[in-house]
Amino acid sequence: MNTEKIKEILAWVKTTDLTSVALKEKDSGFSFATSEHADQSFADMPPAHYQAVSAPAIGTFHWSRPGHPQKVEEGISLPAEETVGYIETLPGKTVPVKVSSSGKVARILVEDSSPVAYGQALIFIEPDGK
Amino acid sequence: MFKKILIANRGEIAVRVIRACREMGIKAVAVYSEADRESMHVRLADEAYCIGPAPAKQSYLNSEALLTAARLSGAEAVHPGYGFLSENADFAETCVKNGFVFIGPPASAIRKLGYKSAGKALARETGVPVVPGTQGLVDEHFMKEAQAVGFPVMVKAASGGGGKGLRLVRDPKDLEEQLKLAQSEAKAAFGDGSVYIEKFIERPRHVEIQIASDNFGNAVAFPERDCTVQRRHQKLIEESPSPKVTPEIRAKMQEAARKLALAAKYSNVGTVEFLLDPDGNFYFIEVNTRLQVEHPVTESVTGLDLVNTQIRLAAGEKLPFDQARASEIHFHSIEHRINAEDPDNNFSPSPGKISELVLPGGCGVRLDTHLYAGYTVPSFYDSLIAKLIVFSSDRDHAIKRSLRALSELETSGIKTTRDFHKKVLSHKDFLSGNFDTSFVEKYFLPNSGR
Repeated sequence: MNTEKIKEILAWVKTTDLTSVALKEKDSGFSFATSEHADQSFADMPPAHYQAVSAPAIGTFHWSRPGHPQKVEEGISLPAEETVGYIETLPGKTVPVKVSSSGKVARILVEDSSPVAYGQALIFIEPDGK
Repeated sequence: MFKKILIANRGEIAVRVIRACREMGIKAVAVYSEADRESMHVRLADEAYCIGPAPAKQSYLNSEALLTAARLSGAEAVHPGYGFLSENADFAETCVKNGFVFIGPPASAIRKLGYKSAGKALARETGVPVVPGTQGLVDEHFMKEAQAVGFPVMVKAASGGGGKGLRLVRDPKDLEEQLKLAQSEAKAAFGDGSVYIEKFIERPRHVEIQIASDNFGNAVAFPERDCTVQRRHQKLIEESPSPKVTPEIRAKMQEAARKLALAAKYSNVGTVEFLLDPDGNFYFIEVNTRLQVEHPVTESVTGLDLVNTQIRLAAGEKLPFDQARASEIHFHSIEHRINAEDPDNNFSPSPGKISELVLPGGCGVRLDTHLYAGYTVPSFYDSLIAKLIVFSSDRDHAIKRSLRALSELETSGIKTTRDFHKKVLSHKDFLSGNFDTSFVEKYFLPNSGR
């Protein structure tokens, strides 16, 4: 994303009521917030190159099948297609949660046995080579 | 009574059910696809769960996701609305298996009445008139069978739909040729060339009877709804009472509908659809085993709340009113289905952002909608965006009220069918009440090829 484009976007933001804006484009991005909203906006914003692993179904999230300990922690590296957890939908039915590309677990956003909605971000991965 | 209900639907009908829940002190749980995150039903519900991506198959038709949302929310019952899974017997059954009450008839009644051929068979058994026709498929004795039915006849594909394999035969000498054409057309379209013959009902009206029944053997039938104004079998305007149904015909239709409901051990609400010919004969077509889009017409005529009734019946209560009360006609009511479609461009969908919105109001006007200013109508679903319902003391004034209310409705940013409704309403045949199901195609879509 070039500087000219960012300037253009910021000029447009000033014509609106928006207090914060975050933009991601391929592997670059930026975020902007007016001073009174700056703290929370920046704190919540993951770096633009992080990739979210989101829930493929609504249900109850489990790191592992019952009786198996949690393997995923922040900092560990995962290969692509690795199963990091399961979502229990109806009794006896589960959907695996997989990582799309290899990388390091940067942030964990979900606790074991918590309800998750479809598309909810569960963990952030810092993809390899970034 | 239930404490919490999940509404397995979207749009105006989800809003309608949430409103009924509110009035009954029941918590309402909404579900939504990624395309409906900003939808009104999500805003109005007590809780809302994203269940899948935009395509309905992966969200509103995904029974596993719907029932998982019910489980997570702690809902006791599921209201299916109309469309989507509302007439799916397997879904009704899956709800019950997973411990949820399905707010609709039992799966067995859906199978008995909802499936066309099964419904017709039950109608015949119960003595409800059906369109005369061959009992099964036609073979080498086709001429004898067609003569028994009586010309003009329709040759219809057994696995038909969408007008394919459909032939009108007025003259017996054309039958053989038309039958062969229908068979080859059906074979090409559905991989099955089997056909049957039905009497062709001339200049029919589409008239339907709302029913409601409980688990204690009580069933009532409401005054009819006339849904003759259709475009390609899609209803556009519904009214009650029908300008062509006399008290005698009404009583007969209500009795037929009640008999069917009792024979099928039906419970909850439903609608029995009939064709009415110009001589006042009516013929059973099918049963819709759910709440209808046009239910507000009946609510406006009778002053009874059908969604409230549905929920009470599903909770195991007795019917809260009797046949005499259900038959009361207090007003004349007309409903307009306003779609996000471009009437000047073959009614193609017109999704997009609604920049400005002005809603009609005033005496005798009801608007069921999920619209708000700034809302973006998504392209993934049905194009119905609002139902304008008016009611007044008589038909003439109800039409004037409709025209007035339609003029007040403004939706900038998208094309709608509002003006089309005004044109239809102002046509001399609509005003006189003399029209049949070909009315819209005949006068407003002369090049539609029908």
